[in-house]
Parts: sequence; C-alpha cells; structure tokens
Amino acid sequence: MSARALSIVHTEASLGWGGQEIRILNEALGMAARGHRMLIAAPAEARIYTEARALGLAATAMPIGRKNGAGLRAMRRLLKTERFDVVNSHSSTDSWLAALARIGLANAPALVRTRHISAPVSRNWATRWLYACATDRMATTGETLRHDLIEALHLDPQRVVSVPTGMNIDRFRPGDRAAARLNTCLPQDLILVGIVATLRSWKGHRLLIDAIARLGRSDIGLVIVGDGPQREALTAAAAERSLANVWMPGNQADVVPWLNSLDIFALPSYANEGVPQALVQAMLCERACVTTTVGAIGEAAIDGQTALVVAPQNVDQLAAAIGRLADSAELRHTLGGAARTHCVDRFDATVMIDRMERLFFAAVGESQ
Amino acid sequence: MAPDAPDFSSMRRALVVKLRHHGDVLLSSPVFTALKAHAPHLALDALVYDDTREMISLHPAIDQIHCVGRQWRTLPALAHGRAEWALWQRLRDARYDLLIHLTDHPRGAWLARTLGTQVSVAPRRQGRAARGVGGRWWRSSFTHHYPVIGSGRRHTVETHLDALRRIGIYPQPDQRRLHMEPGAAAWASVDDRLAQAGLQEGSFIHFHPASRWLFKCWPTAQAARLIDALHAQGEQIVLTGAPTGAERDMIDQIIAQCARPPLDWSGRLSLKEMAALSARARLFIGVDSAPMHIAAAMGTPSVAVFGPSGEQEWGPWQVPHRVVSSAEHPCRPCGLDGCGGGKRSDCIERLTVAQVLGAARELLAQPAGR
Repeated sequence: MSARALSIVHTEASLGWGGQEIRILNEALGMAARGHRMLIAAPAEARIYTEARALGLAATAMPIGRKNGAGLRAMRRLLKTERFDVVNSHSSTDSWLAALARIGLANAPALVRTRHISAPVSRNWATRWLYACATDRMATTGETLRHDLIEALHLDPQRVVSVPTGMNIDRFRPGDRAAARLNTCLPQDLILVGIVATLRSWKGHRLLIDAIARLGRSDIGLVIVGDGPQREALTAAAAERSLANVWMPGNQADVVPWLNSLDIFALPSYANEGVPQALVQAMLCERACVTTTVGAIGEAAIDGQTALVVAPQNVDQLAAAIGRLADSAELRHTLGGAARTHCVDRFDATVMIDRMERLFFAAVGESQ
Repeated sequence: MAPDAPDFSSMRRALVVKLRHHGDVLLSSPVFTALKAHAPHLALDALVYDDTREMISLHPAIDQIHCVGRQWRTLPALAHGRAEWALWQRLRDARYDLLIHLTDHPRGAWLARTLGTQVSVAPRRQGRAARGVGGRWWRSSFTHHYPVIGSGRRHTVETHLDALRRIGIYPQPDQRRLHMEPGAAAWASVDDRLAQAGLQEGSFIHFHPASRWLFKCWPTAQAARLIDALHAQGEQIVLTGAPTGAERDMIDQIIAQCARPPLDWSGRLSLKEMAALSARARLFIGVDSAPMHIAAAMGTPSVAVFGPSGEQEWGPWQVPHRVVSSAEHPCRPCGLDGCGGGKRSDCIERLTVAQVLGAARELLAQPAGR
C-alpha cells in the first residue's frame, strides 16, 4: 500500500509514563509492521526507552531531556549520521531541539509534531516560529485540540491533522463479567464502579470516592486501578468515609479483565485531558461510562448516547449519574453497546496508523 | 490584577517550599488549597523538613512531599552531600514551572536559581537583609517578591497567601482555612484510646500546656490549679505534650501539683493522632504552639494563652477562640526569648487562672454545634 518504506525517528524528552508514551510505542509498532524503519530516541532514564526495547523496537538513548547545548549537539549528531525521512517529536523540549538541529542541515528530515495534551500553547513569536515555520506537519490527538492550536498560532489548517489515539479493537472487547471477576478476584454480587487512571489529583478519584460515599449503598463497590502520587491520600479518604467495598489493586499490566469486571466505568477528570485512552478502552469493552466535559472527552462521550456526562468537580451530579446507571441494567446495556460502535468508528488503531502514515508522506512531500 | 502575573495555563507543576517548624508548615496549608482551586491542572508538590511532613501529608491538593532531613547536618560530609544531591536531582527531574518560597531560607534562592523554574516567588527582604551583596543576590534569585507587613500586624496565613496574591491569585475566604488530615490509622487509634478511657466525643477538654519554647509557657503551678478548677466543675481533661526534654519535665511537675491527676497522654501521640484527639475534644486549651494550630485546623474551639508572641500574627485561625494575654505589658508582643532574653516571660507568667478559666467557660457556654 505504501509508496516506499520510510525511515522515521520518534523523539520523546519526557521521562513520564502515560497515555502519550503508550501511543508512541503503539504507533511505532504499527508502522514497523508496515515495513517502515522506526527508531525511538529518548533520555536513558526515560521509561519509554526501556519499554521500547522490551517491545523489540530500536531505541537510542540521548540526553534530550532538557533544552541545552548537550541536547542540541546529540540531536544534530543523530540527524547528521543517520538519514531519516521524518522526525516525529512529541514533547516541547524535543520539538525545539529537533527544529534547531535541522537548521542548515543538508537533506534535513521533515519535522512532524504530535501534540498530545490540551495545555494551551504559548502565543509568543518563538512558539509561532516553531509551529508555523520550523515544523512541516502537526498532529493533534483530537479535533478540539486541532482547532485550539490553529486558532492560537494562526496556522494553515491544511497542515494540522487530528489523529485520535487508536486502540486495538480486538483486544479491548466485551467479555463475560462473571468470568472476569473470577480472574480479578472481585465479588460477584456487587454493582462495581471503577476507574483506571494514574492516581493524580485532576483525574478526580477523590470526587468519585465522595460520590460513592454520598450514595451510601451497600450494593455498590468501588475499584480503583492504577498507582501514583495520590495513593496514600486516597486510601485515607476512602477509609475516612468508611467505604467498606473498595479495591485498590495498583497498576495492572492487562486492564481488560478489570474493565470487564465493572458495571460502571467512571472518569471524573477535571483538567489535563485529551481523549483519555482508559475511557475509550472501557467504551470498547461496552462499559456504561460516566465522565465529564473536560478536554476532548466529548469526542468519545456523548451525553445520553454513548455515556453519561456530568460537569467537572460536581459530586452531586456524579453521584446521581452513578445511581441512575446502578438502578438500570437496561440503560447500562444501551449506553455500553452504543459506546463500542462509536469508538470502533473513531478510535481503531488501524485507522490511526493509516492517518499517521498519510501525514508522514505528506510531510516528505510525497503522496502514497 | 498584578500586571506581571504569570500565565498558569502553560504550567504543569509547582513546588511550595516551607522550611520551618510544625505550626508554620500547617499555616501554609491554605496556599495549596487556594493554588489548586485556581489552577486545578497543576501538580502541586511540597518541600518541608522531614519531621514536619505529617502536618501536610494526605492534604488533598498535594501530590508529593519532598523532605530535607533535619539530621542531615549530623551526617558525615560525604553522606550529607549525597543526600542533598539526591534531593536536588529529584527536584530537577520534576521540572517545576513555578516555585513558591514562603520563608527567607537561602535554600529557596538556590533552588530558584538552579532548577530552571520560569516563575519563582519569595518574600521581599527588608532592612539590612535587603542591602548589600546578599540582598541583591536574594532579589535576583526570584522573578516575583511579595512584601511582608512587619511588626506582627498580619496573620501568618495571610502573609503566606500574599505569595499567591503577588502572582494574581486572590484566595476566597473558604480557601483560607487550615487543613490537616489525621488519616484512617490516627482516627482509629485515638477512638480506641478514648473508648478505653471511657470518653465520649465532645465530652472532654484537650489541654496542651507546654511548648518547645519555654518562654512561651505558662507556669506549671497555674496550669495545675486550672486543671483542679476544671475538674471541680465536672470537666474531663486529656493532657498532651512532647515525649522528651524540658516539656516532659513540665508535664510531670504539673501532674505532681494537681489534686487529682488528669488523663496524661503526653508522649503517646503522633501529630496525626494529636489532630484526631483535638477534633474529638469539646475545647482546646494551650499556649501558642503547633497543637494550637492543629486544634484550629480541626475546628475545635480554643483558648490560647499568649505571652511574648503576637496573636495578630499567630492566633488561632478561623475557629471560635479566646486569646488570654496580658493588658499590663505594653511591650508585648516583643518576640523575645523571655524578658531581657532571660528565657522567662513576665507577661505570660502573670496571667491568672481566673483569666484562663473565664475564657474556657465562655467557649464552653456556646452551643456545641460547630
């Protein structure tokens, strides 16, 4: 299908591990499967570097964690010695380093920037130069983010494409709840509400604990999958509100049985979201979801059709929505079914790889 | 709005530095509440001394607490250096966009200079400290400085919040409350102890008579007579204090002088348990000390006995209270370590049992609902 095999390097300066890094690796694996040559460039201490190697992807460690001379030299050396068609940058620091390293380089690779997060972009002249002049093509993880970016920096809309993060729709699929609960050792006789997210304040775990406490129903249990800086505080909050049925199993390598153990998936985020991958995964598993309007969540969750949507940081609305779903197996079933259909259309990994591939060819000035 | 207020929307992480004693750290808790309310997308971390960690741990707005070890100075130079280096690396790797420094500790200036934060806020130095090389070095370390109103005319909580006002965040009254979370373990152990002692919630008085600073303490004879008088009126009293040193001796002296000893829980409670105990008490009585601020954070009506320190600056915050202090000492608050620096403060030693008892009766007479 492709005109030719491309040589692509993904740069990532961030040391963190989350949706952004997982998407980069999934994209790289998909592109590699189509015959393109992929390389991941990241700081040695970044988790994506180790994870990439574990997945059998080529990875090189470079000191690109900070905007400084060492980072710039390393980036320039990389682009000089190896002939890439495309550099795909993902965080601010590596985007700057790649843009500056390309200056004056013969046969410089095309620069494609993926913006994963909804944090507003600065509107100063330097940022405008980076996006409008130094970058060939831009991808965002949602349509809302694309609009915001174009508007903030007056970019040519043709050069900015929304490529929502895709999931493996065969891996994330509904399964038998009772069997899943045997697997996860969760009780069969409770209505389980769950969240899968890093334990960070803005994901809204505390609001969820408050909402469950407010409902005060002994037939509802709460499952919190994930780990993070808020763990200690959330454990205390759950204990303080005397919630009896709470499970906090930590990070899970395979979340599918956990999702399929749930009756209701809740993600009450109030900041820093694009289209959350955990939400899409839950929707692909036909879970009935409760979430908010933050970031680009609206591209997946449509209130009353594919999920119930409540205002951010509103415990009353959250509790009411959970109560409504807990009381109606029929509503859960309808929302769950519609959720998968909606997400299969929009968030299929194959579609994501198709679009990124097209974007890369456009960036190097070739059509497929 | 401050014309040079930064744009918070492009920030991801903030670090609040408060390197002082327990009470001061608790009085910085509204900074986290207000900052989180204004910029909910920020990850907020704290840097405090390790022994003060419990004052703010489990605070819902705080993600991570980094600590400077109080004992690091006693380590061999190499081990000390290694601990400092590891801390600095952790802070650098977190890549803070905003640093809020709430004291004039030089560490804040070093961090602001070396961590590469875009925006850093610190108190403006005054008088001699503002002049010379040191003053210039301090000024150029931070991007924003907030003025400190001297002479103890402004409460420490408001002074802390001035750091936020300087960068365009104006905290709502309900965001200025102190916040301390005892946590499930502390609640459980205190409730156990109360049950064993046969005490009901809201039926007893929490009395914390001592402080690490003895010049802020009321004499033991008066404290003992206060306990006797309260006992005579049918009140139950739980006494708390530090496990060691002069504070321990004071508690022993007080108990020895009582007609009937109160329940002595001194040296038995962690700071978190102290908070849970205060929260269960009907009334707190104590001197200007960390437990007094803990009682305020838990919303327990408080009688505060003040000597050389000022209640305008350090009084019980946003809680029903009575301050008992001398009207006969125009010199107070002086902030000195005793009259003439002699470690004994006349203004607190002359306060009578009747004054403290009267204040306690007034608060006990108010309806129990908080």
